[in-house]
Amino acid sequence: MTTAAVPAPTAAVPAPRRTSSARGRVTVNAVMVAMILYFLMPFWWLVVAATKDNDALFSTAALWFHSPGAFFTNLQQLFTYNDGEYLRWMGNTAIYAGVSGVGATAVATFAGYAFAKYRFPGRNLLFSSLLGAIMVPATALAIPTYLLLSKVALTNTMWAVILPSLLNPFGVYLVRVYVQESLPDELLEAARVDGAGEMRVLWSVALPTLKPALVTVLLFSMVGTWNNFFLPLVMLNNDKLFPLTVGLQSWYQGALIQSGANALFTLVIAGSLVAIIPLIVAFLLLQRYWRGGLTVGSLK
Amino acid sequence: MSSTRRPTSRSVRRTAVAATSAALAGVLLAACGSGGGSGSGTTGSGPVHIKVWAWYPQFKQVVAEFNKTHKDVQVDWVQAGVGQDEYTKLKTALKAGQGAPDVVMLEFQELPTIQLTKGLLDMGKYGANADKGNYVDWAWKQASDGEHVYAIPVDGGPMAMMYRADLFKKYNLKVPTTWAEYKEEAAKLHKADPNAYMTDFGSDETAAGWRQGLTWQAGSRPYTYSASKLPDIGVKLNDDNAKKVYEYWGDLVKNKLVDTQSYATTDFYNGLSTGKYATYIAAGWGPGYLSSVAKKTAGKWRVAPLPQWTAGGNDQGDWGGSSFSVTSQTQHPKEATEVARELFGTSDAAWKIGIDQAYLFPLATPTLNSEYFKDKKYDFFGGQQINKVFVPAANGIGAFDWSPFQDFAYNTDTSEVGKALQGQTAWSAVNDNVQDQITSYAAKQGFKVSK
Repeated sequence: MTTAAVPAPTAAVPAPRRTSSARGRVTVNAVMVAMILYFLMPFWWLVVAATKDNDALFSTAALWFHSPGAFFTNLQQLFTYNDGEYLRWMGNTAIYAGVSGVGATAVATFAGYAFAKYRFPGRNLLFSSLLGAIMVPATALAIPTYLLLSKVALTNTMWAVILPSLLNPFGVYLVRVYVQESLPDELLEAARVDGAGEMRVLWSVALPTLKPALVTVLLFSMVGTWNNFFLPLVMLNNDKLFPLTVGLQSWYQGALIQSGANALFTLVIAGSLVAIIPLIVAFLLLQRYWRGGLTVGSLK
Repeated sequence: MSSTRRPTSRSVRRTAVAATSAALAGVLLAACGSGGGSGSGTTGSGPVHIKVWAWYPQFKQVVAEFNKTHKDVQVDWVQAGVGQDEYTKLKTALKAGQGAPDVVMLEFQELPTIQLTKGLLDMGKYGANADKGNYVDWAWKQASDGEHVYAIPVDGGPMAMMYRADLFKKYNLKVPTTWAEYKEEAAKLHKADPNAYMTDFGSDETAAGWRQGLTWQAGSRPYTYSASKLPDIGVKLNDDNAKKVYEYWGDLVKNKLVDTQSYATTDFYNGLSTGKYATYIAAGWGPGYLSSVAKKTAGKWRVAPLPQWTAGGNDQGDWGGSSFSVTSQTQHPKEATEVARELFGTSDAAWKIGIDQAYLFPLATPTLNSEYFKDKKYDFFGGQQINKVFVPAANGIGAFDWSPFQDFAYNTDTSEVGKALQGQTAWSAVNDNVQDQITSYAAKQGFKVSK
């Protein structure tokens, strides 16, 4: 996941001579252009490759168009191949990302708010273990999680992907920091004095202030689940439950090692392109919240 | 992949969530409409349902054919993943004690690894030995251990040389019958066109089976293994035959007579479709593969037998192939065995789909040696009856054991070949290095290794 948020060059230190400051600006801009090219190159390749048929894919220049018309054939094949399983995978991914995103945000909000504003025994211990949990890569937990879920017969169901994704320690951390920084105790006290219950305080006073943090957590969890590969790979044995990541991988592996009766490379490429469109749209629509949220963690 | 980790605080919390969700599961599962669960079979009346994992192309029709012709047993097929993806799931499910299918598609080289964990049912107890005569000998030996039958062979990959007839004509090359001639023609070609190569040397992981196939042809038998003789295993990866092969290809690489692209890359496919490679040392499933990745070269390719180490020899090797196994978790061993034996088996209807649409290379001798298969003409190869090359190759392959740590062996081999490719080690040292690493690995795993 590249957010491509190259920090804007902050006002350069006043230079003794104008020429050196100008030279510095040129350098900074050149570096930025190089970075942009670096990040956009794979994307450009993807767009170009999606417009090629299988033959052109392997025999024409990689970074320029060959037969743009093939794009529509590819799309048509993509959505109809194997009874339209791509659309089903896309629907699955939307369910996984949507439910996990909303659920993870809710959990993170409650937990982060409680960590920030309530004093209870074991708070520091719990929070430290939470910080520890951020350090454990989710991939490392996939197999233990499988063994646990298999005890309650939940593997190979949608819940096997959704339940582990509901816990997002980084989200909890983010909400806690945000609450501490932007929600004064006095405000909550005032609400309590006015007779509001604890839920009411959270709902009517805290939540509106927390919106940027919540959108950030929502986006992080959704993108995380959308891109998640190893967990669904291990959990799901039924191709009807696959998300896009695992489905596309099965096509790709099929194209690589199957007897070759299926050359699915074009479908994998077109499928990858279509799969990132929702993420791009989500990012563009919510980027001001995202950017606001990204700086939250760096407040202190 | 290591799998046993101490529970962290996070996974402890997950246990709590899992426990809570277990209570909700009954209600929620229905809402999710997942069709999960163990689901294999009903004990009452009606047909027994057998769950099958497989990734064969066009397999849907084969399953439909089976279900149409069987009343008491029905197959529920899912594509659980291709290759390593499926093995990862299978190994996890076997470890968890539930979640594995009744019948699973496994490549031959993977069988001992899965069998070692007691993951496979001995089908010999359910009558599978009756099929022994229906399959080519080397394949049956890989699938069984004496009277114990752990898999039923399906398809294989006898090796042969595909070559571009048009390029051979253009550069006046002779179709080589020995590896020495192959090298001569390679030099001639490269001299005539410095941008063209005789072939591409498969140096990457996906080509590990390709390299193994070539040493197989040369007479190398790196492992002496059978499950009933555990923990004994013989490991000999550095005999003269294996060394001969690696030094030969190392020499071609050093003289720039062959390319060294990884096999699963666009550059490689590019080479196949643009005429950069004049030959492709391929397997019985290769025709389907080639005609789909290099469609526009249709009509230009031909197939010739694998070049030999000694003139007039008939030594063959295999690259790839798969089988059906029954897992030890099945509740219906008898019916599952029936499915493994008969999904393809010697069924003409199933094999017609397998041959014509999925480009599978049959290991069932009645199909393999049938007129239909031998006489089939392939337009992609200019109408050549290519199975007249592949069928004798399949029948000429010698027995070969795989190791129960084949993934590690392939990995090691790939990284040592990579080092030789970059000039870090000599080609003549590759086999010895691989031998050292694999014997010490095997010993650490608790095998009694004889060299």
